[in-house]
Amino acid sequence: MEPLEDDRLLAARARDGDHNAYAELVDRYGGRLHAMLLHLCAGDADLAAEFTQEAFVRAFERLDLFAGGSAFYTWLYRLARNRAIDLLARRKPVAMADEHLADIPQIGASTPIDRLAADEQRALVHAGMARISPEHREVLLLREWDGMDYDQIAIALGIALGTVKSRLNRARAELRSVLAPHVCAEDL
Amino acid sequence: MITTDSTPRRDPLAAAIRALPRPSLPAGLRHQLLASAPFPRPRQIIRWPRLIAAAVAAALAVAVLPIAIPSAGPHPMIMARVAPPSAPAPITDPSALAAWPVSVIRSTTVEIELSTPQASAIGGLVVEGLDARGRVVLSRPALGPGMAPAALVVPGERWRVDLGQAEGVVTIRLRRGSEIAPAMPIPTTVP
Repeated sequence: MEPLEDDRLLAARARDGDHNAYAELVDRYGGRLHAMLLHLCAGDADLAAEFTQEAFVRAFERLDLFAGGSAFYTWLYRLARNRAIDLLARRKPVAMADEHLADIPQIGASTPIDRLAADEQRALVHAGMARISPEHREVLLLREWDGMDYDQIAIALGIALGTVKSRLNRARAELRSVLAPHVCAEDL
Repeated sequence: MITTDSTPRRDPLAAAIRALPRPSLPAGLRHQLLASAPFPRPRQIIRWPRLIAAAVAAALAVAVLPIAIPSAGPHPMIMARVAPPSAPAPITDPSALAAWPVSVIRSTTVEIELSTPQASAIGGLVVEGLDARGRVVLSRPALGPGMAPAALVVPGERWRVDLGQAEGVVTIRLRRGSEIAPAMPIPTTVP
């Protein structure tokens, strides 16, 4: 859980011109947002950086509107995602650009065989994620990768709780169908 | 192929998504995020002596100059009226023009008007504007020699001139041939 009160204070200080407070917000949430957008944009680093920067500028301009009712990151993500989803929805599915994600060390792969399996698994999921719709990719990432609960996802996406659940179900189904030719049924 | 392990798994798909990389924020992007925050700029220190000098110069200019009319619109147009301060008389000596008042309000475009009825008498006159680096940013060679006086200057004729890449204070000078009238600085700078 994020320190809501703390974020509210930081946002207020940044709004009043405190550069350090703004830097703290960037350090807290910039990496998380950028990584999320990097996955959402199928590894397109330029696009992810552009959306990240735009989100922070928009957030800064709207700090007055951040009431602290939701987590700062949820609010920030909502600012970032609208344009991103809109743009991605108009693009054709692309192959995952993995070079910006390839050198990240993986946890839990202790032996060469484990590492090989983990790499294979990651490559499959990456490829599958890149092929499903941006909306489905987004909701899966928010839930499984980012760890948001349903309520936070509902706020971040501006949709009802029931819609979150149904969208997640459809997203999982789409990813399973994309991965089906490549994996055993028990793995799905 | 997604492999199995010995521990119970509720959702291998979720686990695979959770295992996706978590890159940190690139240093360059962090720098950009901090640099692009639209913090209000710190207030500039008001230099009172300069401010007072500018105010006095402006007051003097208003007292002396005939008209200075900025136009509306995205590209403000400036009236820089050049007119004799006294009764019009044929002008033969460019240096006499040094007494003509010139005013330009901050703009990238100036409009110059010769309003003297005897303006047609000033054939061969060249109006030049030089910026702070000495570059000619305004030139009206249409007043040059070889043209019929009647076609040269019509009383009230205006020239709209884009100062383009001018920098700093623009100085207007009047020239006939190699004779150059003393410079008349425009009391403003081009943005």
